[in-house]
Amino acid sequence: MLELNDLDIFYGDAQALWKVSLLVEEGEIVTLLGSNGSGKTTTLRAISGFLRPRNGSIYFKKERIDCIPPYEIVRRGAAQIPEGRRLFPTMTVFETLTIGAYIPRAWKMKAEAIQRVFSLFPILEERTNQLAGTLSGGEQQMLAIGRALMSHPKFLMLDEPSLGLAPIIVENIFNIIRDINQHGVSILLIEQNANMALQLAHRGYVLQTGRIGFTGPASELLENDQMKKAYLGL
Amino acid sequence: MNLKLFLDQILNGIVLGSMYALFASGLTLIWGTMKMLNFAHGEFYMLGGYALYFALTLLDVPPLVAVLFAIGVTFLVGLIIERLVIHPLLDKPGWEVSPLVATVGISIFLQNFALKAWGERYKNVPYFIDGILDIFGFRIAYQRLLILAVAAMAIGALWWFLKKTRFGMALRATAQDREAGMLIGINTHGIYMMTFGISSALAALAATMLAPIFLINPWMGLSSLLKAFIVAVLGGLGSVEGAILAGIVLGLAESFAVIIFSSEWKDVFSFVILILVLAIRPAGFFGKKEW
Amino acid sequence: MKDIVQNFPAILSSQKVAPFFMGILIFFPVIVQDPYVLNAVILCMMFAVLSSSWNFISGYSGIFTFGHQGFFGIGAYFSALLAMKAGISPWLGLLIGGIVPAVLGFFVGLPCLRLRAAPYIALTTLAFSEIARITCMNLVELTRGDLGLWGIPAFTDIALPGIGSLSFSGGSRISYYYLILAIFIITMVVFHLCLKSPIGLALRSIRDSQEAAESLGINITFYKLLAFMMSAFFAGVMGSFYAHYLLILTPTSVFNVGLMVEIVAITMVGGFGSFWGPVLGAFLLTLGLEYLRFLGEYRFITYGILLLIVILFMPEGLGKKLSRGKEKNKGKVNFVVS
Repeated sequence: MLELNDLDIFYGDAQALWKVSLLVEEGEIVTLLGSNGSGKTTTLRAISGFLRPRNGSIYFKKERIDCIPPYEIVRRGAAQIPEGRRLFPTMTVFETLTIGAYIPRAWKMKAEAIQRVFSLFPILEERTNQLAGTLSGGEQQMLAIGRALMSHPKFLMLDEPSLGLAPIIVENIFNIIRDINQHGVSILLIEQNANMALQLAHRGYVLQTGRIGFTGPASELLENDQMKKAYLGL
Repeated sequence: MNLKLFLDQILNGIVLGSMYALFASGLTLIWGTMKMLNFAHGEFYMLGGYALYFALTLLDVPPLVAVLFAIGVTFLVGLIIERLVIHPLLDKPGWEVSPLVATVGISIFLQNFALKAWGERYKNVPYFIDGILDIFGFRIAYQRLLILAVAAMAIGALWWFLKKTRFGMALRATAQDREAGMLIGINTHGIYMMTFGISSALAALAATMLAPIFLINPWMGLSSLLKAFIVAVLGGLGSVEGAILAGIVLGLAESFAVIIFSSEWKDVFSFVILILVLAIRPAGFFGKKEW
Repeated sequence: MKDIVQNFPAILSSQKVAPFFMGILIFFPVIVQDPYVLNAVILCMMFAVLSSSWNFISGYSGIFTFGHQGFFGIGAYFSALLAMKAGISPWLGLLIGGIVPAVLGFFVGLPCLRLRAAPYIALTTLAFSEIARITCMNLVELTRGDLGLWGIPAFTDIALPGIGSLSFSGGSRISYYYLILAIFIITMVVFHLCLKSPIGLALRSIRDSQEAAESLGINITFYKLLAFMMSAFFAGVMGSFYAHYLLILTPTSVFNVGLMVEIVAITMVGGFGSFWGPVLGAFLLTLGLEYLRFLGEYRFITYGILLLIVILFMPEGLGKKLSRGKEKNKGKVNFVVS
């Protein structure tokens, strides 16, 4: 589904990623871990088309996407739920979901899509006319996920969905992510909460200051003491 | 002051104010979506006026067609200018200031182009509807009623467009969070082009309605531009509802100011309001905190 | 071509060119006495002072004002009216013509303190300038409005030790030339000293990051208001000079937004945020357009197009790039313009 090959990303003259290679197979949940500043968000921004790699390439569904604009990438079926959710403050829940279906092929099917999002997140249906900016943290995260789902993506990227949320809500959301995955959406999950992420994912990668340090099946990474030491400083 | 004069002033204020509202909505739309000030906004107003004039005199078409022609032509010019001049600047460093400076250049160019091409003599455009409506001794020119009707329709159309259509919602989304908009598949460059076009069209519409009253000349842009700034800031830069409310408020305030002060000082009154708003509450009526 | 544009400010600021340029200016009237040419250079220097003073607040301090013409006009009218109605010597008028706008600059700056984004500041200052313009227009008994103020007294003859008496009457421009040259030199020296001093440092840090400057304990309010007052002062002095040079004033001519556009164009073309940039732009554009006199009424169209071309094709857009370019090019000071 998604393939990153030896990606070098620069911000001006400062290098942020060194030869990053990454794979997400169809149907998988892959998690990208790393401490603050290790380059996780940079990786997502590159995949979504905001950053152009200086070297290396990005393939999505066997097609090269590292030189096409962000909106085109969404049209091809790769959606991202950015860090901090980035909702539209003065749009209602309903409007947010509606505009989430902006791309032409999704627009025609938006009524059904909204119903599906409501069945996933019943609380959103209750709040349908409320402004996005007035929702609680957990509800905002659900709305952000719902908005991304409106474009019928085959591949979903989540940037730190657990940030600032209570554990019980995080658990709920992670269950829903699992659910979405089981309906055929491949997932790339960025998380600081390594434990929960590795329990959800099939495989994982660990970024250390812009380089992939470890990779392997999630269960192995959970056991890997060396990784915990290097990554968590234990 | 008797009742008749009072009502007359209120009507005048609302008529003029509604046009201020439309004109300023365009300016505020560009600010809200593209985070830039279009210093050439007045020149689109002027172009609309001249387009109307030429449609009526050279092409000799009925007023409705002439108005649509003027709006259409100005819309296209707006699209072209955005694509050629503004678009390249928005991604480069210095984008906070360079589009403003570029529109200053465009403004000067268009003003003097009009001066050279069409001369400095003021051009006259006849009322679209002649005649006066007489209700209970209170007389209103049909032209002014027409302006009110057009204003109401235009504002309604604008509201519907922004709230209910796919493109309008995309425009609002882009204005609130550009990157988040890109992440749901919105092509911001297309949005920017259309925003400029729509803004120009709104300016042209205001011009076509006011042309029979105010006459057409190369400098009509600059004086109205300052007015548009005041209205947009008063309403809150970026807020279309704010601009509409503020337009009508300013129109009314000006009408009464003319009675109290005199017409020469009317503009000073408006500028003082602008400075006060910017000093005390830069966000205006409905604006966001981003000055 | 790109390289030449990028390096122009660097070329000028090199120790070699500036004194050379000033030397030419000082001895110019010895060689050329044609009043038409002298007039052109006088205008150049006027715009150099106007643009440099605008650049001081917008390029160096990061406060993008759009009402500089207001200070120019106020200086002009105050000086002219004081001379005509109160018999005050134009020489004193020069000073008053600077001080009054400076004080007003303080008050214009006050509402601008909270504002950061360029358009808000531009609008506020433009509003002040327009208020000044309309006021001048309407106070007809005092200013004769747009009919114009005629017969403004010229500078009185002064006796300079060692040189003899300088006469400002008659057709000779030479005295005016040296007067404006003196003002120009004083202006550049004052700004140079200012920018090198802690004031300059403070202003530049405010421009680059107001938060950082504040956290370093810099009194933002003080420096911003100082910038307003200083830039207004020199604009006002220019206004006063203009009044006693042309001997005629109308509100439309001095409070003209077109004047502001010229200043912006000159500064952008010459180098926004660089020291000699506005001077370069002033001489380039003013002289260039004088020689393109046949374009006459197309002058403003040309300004508009020039502005567009510069904005669109400048290597990396506006502003900080140019001053950083200067630092990058410090090693290339001997760049030859071929």
